[in-house]
Amino acid sequence: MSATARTVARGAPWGRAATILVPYLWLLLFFAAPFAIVAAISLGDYTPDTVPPVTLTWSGKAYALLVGDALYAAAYLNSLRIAAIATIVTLLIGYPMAYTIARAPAGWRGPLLMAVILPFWTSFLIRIYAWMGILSENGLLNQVLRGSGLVDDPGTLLGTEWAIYLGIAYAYLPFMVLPLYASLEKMDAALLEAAADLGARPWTAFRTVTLPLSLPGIVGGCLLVFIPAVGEFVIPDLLGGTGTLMIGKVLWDEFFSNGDWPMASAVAMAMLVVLVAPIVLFQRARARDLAGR
Amino acid sequence: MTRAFLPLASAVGLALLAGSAWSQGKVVNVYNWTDYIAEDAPKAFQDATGIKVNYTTYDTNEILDAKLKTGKSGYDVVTPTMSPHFARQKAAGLFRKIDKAQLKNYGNLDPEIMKALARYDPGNEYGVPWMWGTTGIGFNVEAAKKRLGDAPVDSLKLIFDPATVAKFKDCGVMMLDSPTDVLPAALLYLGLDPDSKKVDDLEKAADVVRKVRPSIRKFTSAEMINALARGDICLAFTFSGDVLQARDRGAKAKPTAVEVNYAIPREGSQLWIDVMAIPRDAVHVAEAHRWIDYLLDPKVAAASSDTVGYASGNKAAVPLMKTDVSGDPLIYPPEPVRAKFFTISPGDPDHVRLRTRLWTNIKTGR
Amino acid sequence: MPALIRIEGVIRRFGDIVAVAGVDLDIQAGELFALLGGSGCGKTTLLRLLAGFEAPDEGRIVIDGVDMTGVPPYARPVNMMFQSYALFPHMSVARNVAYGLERERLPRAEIEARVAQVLDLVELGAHAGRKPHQLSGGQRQRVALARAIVKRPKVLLLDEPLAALDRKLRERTQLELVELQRRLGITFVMVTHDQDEAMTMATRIAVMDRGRIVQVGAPAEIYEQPVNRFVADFIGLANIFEGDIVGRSDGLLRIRCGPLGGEIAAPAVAGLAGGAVSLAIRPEKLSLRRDDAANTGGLAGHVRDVVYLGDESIFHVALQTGATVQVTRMNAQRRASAAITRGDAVRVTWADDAVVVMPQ
Repeated sequence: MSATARTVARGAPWGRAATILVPYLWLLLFFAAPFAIVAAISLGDYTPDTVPPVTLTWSGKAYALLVGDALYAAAYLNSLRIAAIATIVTLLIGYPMAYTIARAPAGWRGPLLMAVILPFWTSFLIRIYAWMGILSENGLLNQVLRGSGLVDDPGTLLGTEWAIYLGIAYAYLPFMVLPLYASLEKMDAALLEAAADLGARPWTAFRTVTLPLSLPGIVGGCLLVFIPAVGEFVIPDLLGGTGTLMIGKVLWDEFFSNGDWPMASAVAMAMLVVLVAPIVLFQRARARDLAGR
Repeated sequence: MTRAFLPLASAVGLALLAGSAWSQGKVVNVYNWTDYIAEDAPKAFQDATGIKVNYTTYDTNEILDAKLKTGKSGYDVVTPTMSPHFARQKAAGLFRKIDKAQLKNYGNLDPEIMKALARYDPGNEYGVPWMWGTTGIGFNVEAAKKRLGDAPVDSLKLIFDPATVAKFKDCGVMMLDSPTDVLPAALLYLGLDPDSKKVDDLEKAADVVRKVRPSIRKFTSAEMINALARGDICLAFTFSGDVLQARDRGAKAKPTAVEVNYAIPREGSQLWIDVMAIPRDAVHVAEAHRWIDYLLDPKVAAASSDTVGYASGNKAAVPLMKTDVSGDPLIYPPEPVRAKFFTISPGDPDHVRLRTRLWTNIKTGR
Repeated sequence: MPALIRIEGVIRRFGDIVAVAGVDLDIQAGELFALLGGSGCGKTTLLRLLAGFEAPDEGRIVIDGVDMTGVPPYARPVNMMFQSYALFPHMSVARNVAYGLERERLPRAEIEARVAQVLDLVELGAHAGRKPHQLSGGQRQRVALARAIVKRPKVLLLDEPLAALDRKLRERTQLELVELQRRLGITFVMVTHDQDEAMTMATRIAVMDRGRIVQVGAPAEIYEQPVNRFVADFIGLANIFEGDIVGRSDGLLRIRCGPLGGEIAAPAVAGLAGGAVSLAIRPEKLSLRRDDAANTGGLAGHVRDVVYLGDESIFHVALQTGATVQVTRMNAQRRASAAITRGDAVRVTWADDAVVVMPQ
């Protein structure tokens, strides 16, 4: 055995251990540790005159308030509702896009996917600000509507919940399109021919074959949009109206306006619990998708 | 895998090295509001003193507050607003005392502003005023004329009387998303003490805002300048500086100029003062004093006020300013108006919580 | 009786490529018709034109008296069995088979009865609840078949129906398919590249080359009377030579062919009276004998190579004329004492009617 070979042989188990270790280390460093810190803060007492303004006590006062005050439950429910509607809007926009790309000639798919992703090379904030410019009273959209003579007084979309849905749909579109594309693209085109051959009109073939087969993509895409949308802060704050109660804003208020770290942490912990169900669902769907392959 | 570790390790090492070098050289780390200084000031300071300025900016007091409260912010000079933020931070022991002996320009400060500040910082031990202004009414001149004729615009009625605000609903009304600015004004509108901490009083003030809420398009602290300047809204309750900037931008708006103006409510206006302070854990204390002293130079202060259009806490700077700044009664209001300025105290945590809660309920219509 | 399927002057192009270059063909009811050809010959495109997945650029297709122009696949009285089977992966076997019946909105009970019946027919009744990925290749093939025949189409189109099966299974299934076709009375149109499969199964075969049909006929006709070199070469083994017609006598053509030792006789073919022609002799129609005193006549040569195939052997014989011919011989005896082996001097003979004359 040559010297080089021996070194490789001895180095290999260590290298393998490191390879396995790295993701765990990553998780420990950037998920488990921060999570533990936030959990500990959430159980502490708010003491405004200390740095930082929290004393670790395990009192859990923040949770008592979280349960006792209807505001938080209302904020969570409203966030879930807005995220759900926004997810459906994103799905309705994203599905036809993913479908078109998956059915496009092979040479076109790369550039089309690129076009979906390309806007994400500019800053998220700048893109949301751009939407403010488009949707405002004297913004681009209304100028076009008025200029076309179709509508005299189009009203203002900015500041409504629909602006939030639009913003979320725009910002999270790739997270919807990519999993949908993946599940649609791997679908055998012969299946649709088989359906047609057996008497299915195009819409029936879509409903009975394409749709069920893209279900893993739909579930994946929807959860990838839904989960972050629940905690979304910037889009509702900038595009939404004042009256939109969302948990992200409540959290911001707890942390920044009140400076109440334990309460803010408790709100964050509760959000995680609320999202556990969809996350588990997502993992199941992925596992099933992988197994089905 | 081992190879992948190397760049990571070296990156971390470099960062550590850079960190230590950063704290040894002649530098000062300044954290200030955006657009709040003459643009060439940091460079001029560096040329004059050889101290490198790391100048970074923020745009809400809350961000600064969170950084300071986390500890080890790394900043040497910060500029929070007097109340409630500076006052609360001072109470939490976040600042170190100013060594006035190191500030040869200290005597240039405006005694009137120093007196207002002393309410929260007795003896002016921790803060040096930078700029100040009022909270009032921004309006679109044309829209206001059409709806109110020649009736006066300098009244809190414009934003708290439901019937009056409703007239502006169609062209857009915005209000500061800030209970500490809006609720005191509502208290004043009711003829109550704007600094009242009584729960009943706060509830009454909240009702005032609730009644006008249907006419308000948005509560915001960030979008007012553009919205006014573009003509997207015609009425706003906000800081003087926002409106004066909107006035300048609106005049240059294309294709047609938008005429925006500001009114200080005759009932009284909340005075805000932004205060320079040195965090307790600042590393470059001497350099921080040099920076503050540099800004207290009347020429430097005047140039900054000329640039940003705010009144300066530096009295000696006033004669050196452009007359359209120093002579503008909206920037430097006459004595009778100044007499009605008020300030509010921070309040205890329970009060803060109640206030935030009331505010959330107002905004979401609960 | 009018043809069940009538293909008239059909042309189908893909860009610059002409996949089907003018096909006229009639297929009768009850036939098991095979479209045979190499890859790219247009046979699959022709099948897809029948199914309606492609539309002809020119010409038309009539099925059972109805012009299919503009009729979408879902409205045609044909069903197809796909080469990849194209089973719906998210449905059970029973649901796959029921799919076509559900589209006809038949009553639930009838659907269930017909699905059960057809699954019994393909011997998959026990697997009705399984998903396609839980089945073997042969079982999947039978699901695909069941799904296609459950609708009782007038025509069943089969695209390389047995290509995905291993050889043993393929040979058994060939006969099962033929048997099934007779029982159901459905007209089968099958695409295949495998000449053995076509010969075994089909009542008639159309040999295709470069988008055209070269010859249509029963298997024996195509084998024994190929119309040109391509067909002779494509179907089975053939020794092919060039020659010139020099005369005619007693219903036989006199043909001069150097490689075969001068002038030979061959059965007359209509339309061929003179000029250059191609000749084909199947290897099994040549006889091989040891070149010794007892055996004279025929052409002398020696065995260059012997390919042993078990049931028969193929002898490559270099003739003294310079040509090489292949000769097949059944291995009728287990150990032939006088077996001809490599290097042996031999004589090759044939009957006059073994020679097929084709235009060049």
